[in-house]
Formats: sequence, C-alpha cells, structure tokens
Amino acid sequence: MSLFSKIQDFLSRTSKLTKGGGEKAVQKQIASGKMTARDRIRDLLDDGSFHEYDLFVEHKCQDFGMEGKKLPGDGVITGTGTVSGHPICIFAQDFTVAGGSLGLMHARKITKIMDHALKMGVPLIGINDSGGARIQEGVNSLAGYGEIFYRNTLASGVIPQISVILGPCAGGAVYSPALTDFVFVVDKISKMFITGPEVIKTVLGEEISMEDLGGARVQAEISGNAHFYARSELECFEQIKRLVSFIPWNNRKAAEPFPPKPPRTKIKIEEVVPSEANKPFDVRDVVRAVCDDSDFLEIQEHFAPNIVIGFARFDGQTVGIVGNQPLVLAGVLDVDASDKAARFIRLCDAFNIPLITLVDLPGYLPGVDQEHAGVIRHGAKILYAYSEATVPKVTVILRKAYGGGYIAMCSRHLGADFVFAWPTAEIAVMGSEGAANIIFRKEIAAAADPEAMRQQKIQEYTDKFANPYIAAAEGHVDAVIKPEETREYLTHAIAVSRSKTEARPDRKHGIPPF
Amino acid sequence: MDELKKLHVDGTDYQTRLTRKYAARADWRRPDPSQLRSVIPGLVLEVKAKPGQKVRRGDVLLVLEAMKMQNPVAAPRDGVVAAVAVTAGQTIPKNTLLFEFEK
Repeated sequence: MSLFSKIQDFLSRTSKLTKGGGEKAVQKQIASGKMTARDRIRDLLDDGSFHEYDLFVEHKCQDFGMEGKKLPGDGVITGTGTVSGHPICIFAQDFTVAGGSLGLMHARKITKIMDHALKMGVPLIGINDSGGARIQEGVNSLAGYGEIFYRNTLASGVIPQISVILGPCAGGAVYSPALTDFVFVVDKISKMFITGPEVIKTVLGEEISMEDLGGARVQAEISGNAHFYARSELECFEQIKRLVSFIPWNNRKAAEPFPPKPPRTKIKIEEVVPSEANKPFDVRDVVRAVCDDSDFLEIQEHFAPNIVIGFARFDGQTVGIVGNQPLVLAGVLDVDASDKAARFIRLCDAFNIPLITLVDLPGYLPGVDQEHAGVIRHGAKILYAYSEATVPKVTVILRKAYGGGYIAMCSRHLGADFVFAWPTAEIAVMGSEGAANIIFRKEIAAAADPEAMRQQKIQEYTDKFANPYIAAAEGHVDAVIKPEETREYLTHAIAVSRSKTEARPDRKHGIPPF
Repeated sequence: MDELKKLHVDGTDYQTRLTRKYAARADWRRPDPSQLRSVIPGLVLEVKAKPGQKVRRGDVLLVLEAMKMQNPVAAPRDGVVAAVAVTAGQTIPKNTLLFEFEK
C-alpha cells in the first residue's frame, strides 16, 4: 500500500468511527433533546483542545449475535483537553452506539483515562448517557462497573471528579457519580435511579413517572444526589467551566489564584441583616457583600437550602463558604443540612481550600421525623468534618449561635483558627425566651402577673447573655468586629493562614459517622 | 414556598421559609398494637384469616406478593381477629391496614 492510500485508509476508518452509531441514531439522539457525545465534548472543552484516545478499541463479545457487530469506540469517547485553561481527562458515553451500554472494553477505556487522570493529577470529567450494563457481555460488564467504582474511590480526595448526567444513568451505574465530588444534572435530560419505574410497578404495584422518581429536579432538591442543576446542556457546561476555575488540579496543589477584585455589589450589611434574631435574611447577600467580585458559586442550591455552601474568593484565593441560611427553616441544622455541609467541609479540606463559616442558627430542627432519621448520627458528621479539617478555618458569628449548633458551626472548640463576632451576635445555650422559661419557671409561675414576669425575665436574660462579650471574655471569640469590617478581617485571616500546618495523630483513617 | 411562615425552635417563633420536603414530612403516629399494617406494597394473593378467628403469634394470616415473592404475613401476637380490611386480588400500598384484632 502506498503512503497515500495508507493515509486514505486511515481517514476512512476514522471518519466511520467518529460518526458514532450512524445517522439514524444521531437523529434520534437530537430528537430526544440531547446533544451527541462529540458535540458535548466540543462545547465543554476549550476550542480545539480535545485529544481523543482509544478510538479503535473494539469489543470481543462472541455471544448473542454480538460477534459480527461493530460498535464505534465501544460506545464511549475518551481523551484529554482543557477547560477554562485547566487540563482535564474526560470520558463521554455515546448513547448512539448500542445505547451507550457498558461492556468490558467500554469500561477499560474509562478506567484507562481514570488511571491517567490520577497519575497526571488532573480533574476527571465523566459524561454519563447510558442504558446500563451491556447484557450480552454478562458478568464482564459488571466487572467493568466495579473497576470504575474502585478507581472513583482511590481518586477521591486526590483529584476532583466531576460527573455530568446527560441521559439515563440507572441501576449500578449510578454509583460512579455517587462516589464523585460534583454531580451535574439537566432538566428533562438527566434520569438517575437504582430501580426504574417499570420495575417498581411490576414488583411493588406503585406507579411513578421517571421524572418524579429520579429526574433532575428530584436529584437536585429532594435526594441531594446532584450538586448543580441546569435547564440546558449549554448552561450545564457553563457551570462546569466556572467550577473548574475555583478548584485545584489535585490535592497537592492550591486552586489557581485570580486577580483580586473588590465586591461588585456594595450591600450595606447592616441593612441586610435585621437585629431581631427571629427575622430572616438571605445569608448569600452577606457572602456577596464580602467576597471578591461578589462572585459566589453556590453548590447544592436546591437541596437542604437551610444551609448554604459554595466557593468564593478573597484576595484572589479560593475559599469554601458554609453559612446557615436564616431565610429557610430559620437556618436550623437537620439531617440533610448536616450531610450537605459535612461532605463539603471534607472536600475543601482534601483540596486545600480554606473554610469560612457564617453562623446564624437556632440549633437543630426538632421533630420525631428528624430523630428517627438519625439526626444524631448525621449531625455528628459536621462536628467530625470541622474537627478533622486542617485547612485554615475562619468563623464569623453574625447573630444567633445557640447550643449544640454554636459548637457545631466551626467554633473555637472544634479548632477554628479565627472566630469573629458581630456586635449582634448572641452566643448562648438557647434563645432568651426558652432560657428564661426554664431558669425562671418558679418565679414566673408564682408571679401575680406571670406574663409580665416572663417578659421581664426574658429581658433580663437578653441583657445579660444575648451578646458576644461573654464568649469574648473567655477568648472563645477572638474579636468583635463591625459588620463593614468583615471583608477586611476575612481577607487578612486567610492571608496570614497560608502556611498553616497542623499535625494529626497517625492513623490509617478515621471512622466518620457515615 | 417563598412565603414566610412560623417555625418554633426552643421557645422562639422564627419567621422563615419552609422547604417542600419539610412541608411534606409525615406526622408520627403511635403504632396501634391492635392493628396489622403492610410493611411493603404488593398484591394480596390470599387472605387466610376470618373475623372472629382465634390466632396464635406466627400464624400466617395473609399472603402478599411483592418483590416477585409470595410473602407470608404472620400474626404479630396471640389474639382474635376483629376485622379483615383487605380482600384477595387487591393491590395495596405500604402501610395499608390489613387486620384489626380484638382489644
């Protein structure tokens, strides 16, 4: 064969393979409102940065009529590229090829690019769009899943792992995204469940739609499996690009700094935050009033919105924000909020991202459902995660910090490096009303006018304890600061903590209350 | 869910929004020992006990097909069946009343 015909042969092979499952399957994919795997990679990655590997990989299945079948790329596209200038490894399942089903070689391509990401110390992005295990390949496809889960676990806390659910992701397949750090879903496109509506109907007799069972909204709001929710694939890609700019490539690096910028929105914090402890405000307004460029990337916005988590920057450095949200459920800690915050704290700790905690909570959510759902075990995760974290930890107490909630929210006692409090802070065992009712129960009951006595005692307790000065007198609070000084104090605290080192006892690993 | 509601925590009423999940939480009810309820949804294949029948703990009262299995539902205690609340052929959700026992 001449050189020319060799090149021609190569081009014709490549062109066949890059067409995926063929014209008809591609049309079907587009008609169902989805982009093709190749278009997704093109739109997510920086222009021209994608380099593909293992295009010529073929399956070896000899059973059930598979022996003659050609599956281009074995239904998955893998490679490297850059997102917002940062190097990444990526795989994208191609639904047009045998429904994106996972066979042995499909899995081998994925584990190969995962190994590569781990070795090179760069983030891994996985685009999931697959009907599930390739049944013809039997136990080999199960083996493939297992080998992916194993690598997801080994890579956890070493490189950031991002899962993008752009189609079905059902049965065992969901456990790969579940083991990764950030899960992205898109309205009407993402579907995640262990057992689908059909099985639920035949086995249990319960009818539910795919959307109501495991659609994007359910995963983002109810189950908390998803971290980012978008209305379109393109919006989803924009979210990923933003996220990648906030996180480091791996756990040995810090996130790339940005040019420092003052907050864009000049919100007067005093006008945002009511001084009465029972009135709500949006803690995100405080975050935007203090962080660089008012740029706050919220994570799990719709799940457990009584706690707010996300990334922001101070002086160009990425920080993780954890804030009680008085606007929703008064900012209480509950099972979901504890899970959400604890996992985020561990993520920040793993990737060298300092933590800023904004405190305003009445305590834990009361209720039989909470107790029976294990709020003790789940609530303990926050204590564990904060205590364990060795990244710089800075806490600002805005208003209420009552009881166990005060301790849990990165108090000095759990190893906060800096604890600041606004003059509106109330650091106490509980709110004044509750405390007065208990301490002065006899006096109130014996009084000629019990209600007047109650109000008097509430006032007494408020005057004495509902302030930051008792905690400050003990050194539990380092400084009482004016709200308008918050940005300056936080920026300084992060800056002076940059070379923080903190030793922990040697151990294989701790045993967090999972 | 954007409307402000009252949430009572430790003596204080807070003005705040509720979540859909919080609003949809189930109220807790004390279990009634004179009632037997389904722990899983399924199809009632066979009802083996009649009202007025004396049963011993462990006697199979009903067969419920669920998870592709025929699950025997046994009497949780000795007693007399006061009422049967389901019939064979009926598809039932979880927590459906199956039998009442005399108190």
